Amino acid sequence: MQVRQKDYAFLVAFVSATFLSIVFMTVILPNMVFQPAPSDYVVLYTEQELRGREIYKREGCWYCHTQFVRPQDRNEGPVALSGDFEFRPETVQLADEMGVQLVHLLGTERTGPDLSLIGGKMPDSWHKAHHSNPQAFNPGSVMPKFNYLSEDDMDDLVAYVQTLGREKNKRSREAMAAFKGNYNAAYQQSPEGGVSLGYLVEPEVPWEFKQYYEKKHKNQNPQKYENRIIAGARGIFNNKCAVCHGVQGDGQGPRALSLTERPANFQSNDPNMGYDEWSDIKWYWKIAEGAGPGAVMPRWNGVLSEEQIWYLAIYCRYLAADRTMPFPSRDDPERDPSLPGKTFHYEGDDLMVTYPEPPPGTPLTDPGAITEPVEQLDEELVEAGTPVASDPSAVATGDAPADGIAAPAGESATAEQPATATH
Amino acid sequence: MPKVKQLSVAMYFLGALIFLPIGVTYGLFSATHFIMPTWVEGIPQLQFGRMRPVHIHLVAFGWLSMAYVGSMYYMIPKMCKTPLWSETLGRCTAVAHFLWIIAAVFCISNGITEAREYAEAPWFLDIIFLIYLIAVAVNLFMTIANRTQKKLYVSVWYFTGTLIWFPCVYILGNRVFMRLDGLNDAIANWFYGHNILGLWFTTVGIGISYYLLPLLVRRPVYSHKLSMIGFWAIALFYAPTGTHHILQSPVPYWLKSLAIVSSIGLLVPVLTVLFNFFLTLDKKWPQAYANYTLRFLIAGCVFYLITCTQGPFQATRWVNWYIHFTQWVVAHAHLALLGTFTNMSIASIYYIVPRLTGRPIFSRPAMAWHWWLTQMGFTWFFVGLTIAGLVQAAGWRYGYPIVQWVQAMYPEQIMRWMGGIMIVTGQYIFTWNIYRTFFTPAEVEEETETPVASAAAQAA
Repeated sequence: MQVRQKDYAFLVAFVSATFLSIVFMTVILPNMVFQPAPSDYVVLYTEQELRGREIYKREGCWYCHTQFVRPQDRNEGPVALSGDFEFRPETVQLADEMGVQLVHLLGTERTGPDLSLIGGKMPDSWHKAHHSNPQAFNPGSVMPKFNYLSEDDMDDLVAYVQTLGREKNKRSREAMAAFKGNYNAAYQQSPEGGVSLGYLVEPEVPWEFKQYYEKKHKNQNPQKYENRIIAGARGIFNNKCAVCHGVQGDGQGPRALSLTERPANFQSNDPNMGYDEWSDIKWYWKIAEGAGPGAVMPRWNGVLSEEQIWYLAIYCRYLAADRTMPFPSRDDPERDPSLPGKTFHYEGDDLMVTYPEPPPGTPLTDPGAITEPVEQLDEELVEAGTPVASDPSAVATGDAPADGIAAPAGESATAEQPATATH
Repeated sequence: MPKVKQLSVAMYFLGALIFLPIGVTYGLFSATHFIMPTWVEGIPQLQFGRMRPVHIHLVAFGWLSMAYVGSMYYMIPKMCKTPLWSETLGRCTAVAHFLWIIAAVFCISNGITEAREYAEAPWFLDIIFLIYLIAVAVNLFMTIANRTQKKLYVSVWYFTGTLIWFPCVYILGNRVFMRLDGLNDAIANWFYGHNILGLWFTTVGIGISYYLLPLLVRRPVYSHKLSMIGFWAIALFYAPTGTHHILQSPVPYWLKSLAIVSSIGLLVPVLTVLFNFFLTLDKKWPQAYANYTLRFLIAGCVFYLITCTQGPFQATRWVNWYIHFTQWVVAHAHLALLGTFTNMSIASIYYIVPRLTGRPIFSRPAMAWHWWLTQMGFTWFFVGLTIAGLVQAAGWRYGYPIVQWVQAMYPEQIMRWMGGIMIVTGQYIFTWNIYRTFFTPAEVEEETETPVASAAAQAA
């Protein structure tokens, strides 16, 4: 039996027409009208970086790491703009010569951090060591160990990873250096009218926040219980903050090693930073919201309770009040463990850090080390009885002068010593 | 092996059933990486970043696609009342598909990848697959053209649409003959990434269900008109939805809006199709008690309802804002491919295999085990991953340190892993059962029931 094919041909034609019009609408039309120019942050890849990009694709890094900051991402950095994903013509040409496909690597799911602004935050050797054994750096991380990559592959991969957000991070560092000092001043004095710096650092406590927390601060009046609070906050600080900022808040915690930018040193006597002038509310805001977009410091809001953040705020003010530490020079490898030049490598399972050779004649002393014998120190403190603080307004001494919440007598004491001395 | 009526279909099913257990094992293996991230060290082929695309290729292109083409090779000739146009071509395509999957798995495992989701296979395999798809389409179109049944049942509509759409989607998605840069690449990628689901897995799956359901409950489809509405609505609404995967990226706003509107529009085909199915089943539900094939089909339909109400809901800006980039989406993808379309394909295999071999499924208790392990395991899996996704979403929302919420997801990952073990066990039982059905020596053979006449054609 022969069947008429006209109906069926009609169906096929109609189905095809519907589909092709939709393809035109959603694939071809966007490609015609949406041609953003490459933004200033687009990186011009070198041959090595393109090879690294291939390794990033090959090892499936993009299944767990994304490469764009969404508007809702807090603490990640500036939101991605359409021009950030274009390529420079030279890059396209080089990729063609190398036979490399410049596919998008936006990512599909985030089991790990967004990588679009990772470039330049950590030194190369940190990345290599971290790729080889992520669990050594982040216990509990589910990242696989990429210790099977060859030396060359690892170099290429790290070279590529360092390009991600390199330009954006470089600008933020330059801008920070140019406008070092009060964040507020930096924001206002920007020759570009403050707009270009808008994403770098939040300048001052937002007024709504300030209003709300001034009221809360007044009602809760944490200052009344300050001594007890400082004793309690020390635990939280040592647990959450000391890993970067150091037990004394001097920015020399163990993790400072792995950062190219040094964590804040609250004890620094750098007059531009003015940590000793920060109010409780400003400390609260910084702790709650993180150091600013693009920084490594997380937001603690939600992780810690409001009460815990108040505790920390008061503790930070207390640490900052002790301005006995000289402002460390960037060129002094001994004072600044995050100086570039240090390298990481493995000896068996142990992560080793090698520091650059200090200039000849530099005395090799640890700034945080206790130079005097501990017994002597204790006696001194017990005898003294009263805390030694350079700024009496910052540390309450009226309630219980001898209850052990004394500021360290000098840079030779850690924050724990006064407590152990009296208990 | 008994004399099989249509060897091409049997080849497809046997191939699919090799990839199914291997594919789910790969999935389980990669899920284990979330619990014990360093349990295999130093073997690049067994790291998460390479196992995940291999898992996708094995289950989506290996298992599901082979089961789909096999089902179409069986169903289209039945509905058109004519033999398959070229049985030889059919057998060749079955072998080609099998070898293609092996080649793709080999390439991706060894790092030869395009790094586009669902399109990881390298360009030369893309071209081979395209030729393969065209060969399948030609075979089936010629079968339809030679038909002796004038009126076309709705399944043929779905299959026709799919065979036109899918090769086009495949060309665009794999960028075989063009290059796009920057975000346009992402737009085309997600056009493909979503439409491989929408215009291949969904449309063939629905076509299979439309074929099986009337036959299994022995009653014509409730409304032919409703099925037509469902078909045209899917043709209109499915294709533009891809951009809802990148709603927060800086692609044009109008494209995102179009994607969201059509995602919500997807409720139209989904609800009409399911309304049609459930009314066909009206007062016949107790049949599912005794009939595992019907059970799998109904389970597929129920999971389809959940998938496709979840889908439009999570494509809206404010829900997407929260759950984007989390395991929630992974749970949703498994709900579609494992919960819905795998169940439909299983029903299809359980229905067709006795009619091919002329003997019943080897073991009924094994079917029961397969049913319970798959459904219970999947429920565990889905609930676990969904909760994990919500934990993860909260972690991103509040800016928690990543390691903190990764560890908070640990119980849910264990839950998903346990569900995964149940699913994997079920699929091994299934494979064993079907292989025994095919390869049991003749003396064990029992009396066979006569195949049910094509009620689908009558329904039209």
